[in-house]
Amino acid sequence: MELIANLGHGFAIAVTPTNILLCLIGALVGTLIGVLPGIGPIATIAMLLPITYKLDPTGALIMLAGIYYGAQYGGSTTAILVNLPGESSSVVTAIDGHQMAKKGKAGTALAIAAIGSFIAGTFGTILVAALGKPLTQVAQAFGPADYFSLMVLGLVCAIVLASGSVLKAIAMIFLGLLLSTVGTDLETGEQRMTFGYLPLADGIEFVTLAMGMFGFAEILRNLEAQSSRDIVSQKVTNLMPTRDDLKEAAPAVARGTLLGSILGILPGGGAVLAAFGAYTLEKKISKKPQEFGKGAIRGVAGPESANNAAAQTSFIPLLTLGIPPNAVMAVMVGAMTIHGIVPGPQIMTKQPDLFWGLIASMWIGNLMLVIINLPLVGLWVRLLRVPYRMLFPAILFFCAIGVYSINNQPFDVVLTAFFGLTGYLLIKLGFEPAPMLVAFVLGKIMEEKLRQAMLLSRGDPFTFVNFDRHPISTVLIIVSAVLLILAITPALRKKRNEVFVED
Amino acid sequence: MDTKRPGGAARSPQDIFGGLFLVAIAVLALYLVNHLPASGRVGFASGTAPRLFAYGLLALGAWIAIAGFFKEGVSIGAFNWRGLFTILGSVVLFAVGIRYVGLALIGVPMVMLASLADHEFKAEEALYFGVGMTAFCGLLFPTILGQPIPLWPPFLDMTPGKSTGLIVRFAAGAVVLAAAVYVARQALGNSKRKGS
Repeated sequence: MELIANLGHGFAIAVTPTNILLCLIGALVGTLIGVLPGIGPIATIAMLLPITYKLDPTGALIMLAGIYYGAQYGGSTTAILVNLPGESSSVVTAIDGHQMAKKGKAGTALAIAAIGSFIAGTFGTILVAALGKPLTQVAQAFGPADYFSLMVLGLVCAIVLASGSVLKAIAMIFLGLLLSTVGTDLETGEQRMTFGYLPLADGIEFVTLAMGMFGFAEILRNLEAQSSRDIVSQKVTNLMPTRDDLKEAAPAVARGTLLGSILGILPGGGAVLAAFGAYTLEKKISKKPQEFGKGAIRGVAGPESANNAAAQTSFIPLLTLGIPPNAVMAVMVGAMTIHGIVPGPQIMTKQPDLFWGLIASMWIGNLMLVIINLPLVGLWVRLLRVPYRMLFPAILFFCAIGVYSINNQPFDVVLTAFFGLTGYLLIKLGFEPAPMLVAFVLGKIMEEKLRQAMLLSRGDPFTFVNFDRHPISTVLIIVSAVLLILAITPALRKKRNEVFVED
Repeated sequence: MDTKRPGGAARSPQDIFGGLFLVAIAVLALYLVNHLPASGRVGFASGTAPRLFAYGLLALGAWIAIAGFFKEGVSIGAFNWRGLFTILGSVVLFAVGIRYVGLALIGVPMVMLASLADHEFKAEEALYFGVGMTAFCGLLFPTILGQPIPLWPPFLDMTPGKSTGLIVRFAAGAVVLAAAVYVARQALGNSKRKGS
């Protein structure tokens, strides 16, 4: 079996002492920021990017990936013990998880969340490994027109799956695309929208945009909505769930894993949507829906499995097609670019060490998380007692240092503050910045592919829907159009909004 | 933020101002790319894509704004001016100061200014915390990780690696330890108070 041989190769790379250590650091940092409300994986990965300069690309990506899935584990701890989502993907876990904790079953809830996450993580990792090869082969048949259309589909999915107004989501996509064109033109070298200012000639640094719009704007928002923390104070005991608990949770874990895996691959999806979807599903098919909201174990098992499965599988489009399906993966593209790796199908053929090593490390990371996390619960709880008024200045300080050290350019730091202001304004005006970030990352590649395709077709704009010459592109455009029309139709819009409504 | 306005001319202020905000960005972009060719030999030139995206944004922004007049919507919540000024101000302060006075001297004022964003600001605590954070970051980033961040003002050129650098590192280490003890005590104190 080639798959097993490849995975074996990956494990050989992932278990080197350096990589194991990096994986552990990433998973622990991820858990830490997952536990702490008010700082998410996007800002953290962006913040740690400059530190990875000195590492080799494989090690760097192993660590950064660990932050993402580690955050899924950490987020549930806070949700269960404090009734606050440590991470936005654990919003729904708080509903039933905290009720369980109040009934003295905090240990069970934590254990189920961890076990569910581990099973989901394992399945997700296998899926990444299995789908890697075939998808890469598909991607290699893609021409510029097909690539462009695929990215159009990705953006349409981001619109369909974003929460809130469809129109506003489309507007954010266009804003992201527009921002991506700032800088030197690829073909002619002309300066575009740089105000003649040299530091902008390379374009807007991805980290400044992500950090400003997510990191700073999030702090501002958190300061407005400060809630008291209602920490379950009794000691967490009985970490081992009973046989009945396991029996009750098992089907929810299986469903959550499947649903999460699918939603993770879909562009615009990711861990947050997966958790919401899984909770809705569990509640809908349950024979005792009245138990939900009062401490139903399935309400913890389903979403927690789903968010971790999605965190794993969202690497699939990134590693095989070079398309980031969500904002966190968009940051990963930034990380790869800094290390000189172009995301896409060539990673697997040209850098098999990185591809398989990263996949193997995900499983190892999940294993470490499930082993170390439960004993460390006490430590995490203690961390939660550090007040936010000390936390956010520290985050700001780290961010400022991180942004400065990308190019040793004070201007970048000022730009981050500017994007923080913009992000805050956008949130206040009811816009969701996540689709913008995805569009910003895709924008550069999209323009390049668009221009290549136009050149090849001698300027025919209908080349993308010319079935004889570009069948893949045509199908992708048709699917995109249908999805977009569906998203605007009132019936589906209503359903879509229901998914995002919290009880 | 969820206060609904009864009737009136501006029915969804959030959408109206949001739409206009996007329109403003689009107009600025169109002005900035005005000198670039809009189309080239094969349809695309350097100015084509920015124009395409800007016109799209313009249309969407206008649509959102106009639609805002005709539907019921939420009003814009109050702005957190204190937070905006202190948080963004502290970041700008860092940017301005880093080259002139270095990380060691800009850290404390930055952390203190940022801390002011919270209404529970405690000057003494923020000071200690600022000192601890500065020492920690000064030790971690320029010293251990070797990132080229100026630690001291240029005239005090104490580049880590020189003999003076070693003393600085030791001093920083001591402060880190003190700060860590303080934070730990603070955290424990909190837990005792809440636990009882």
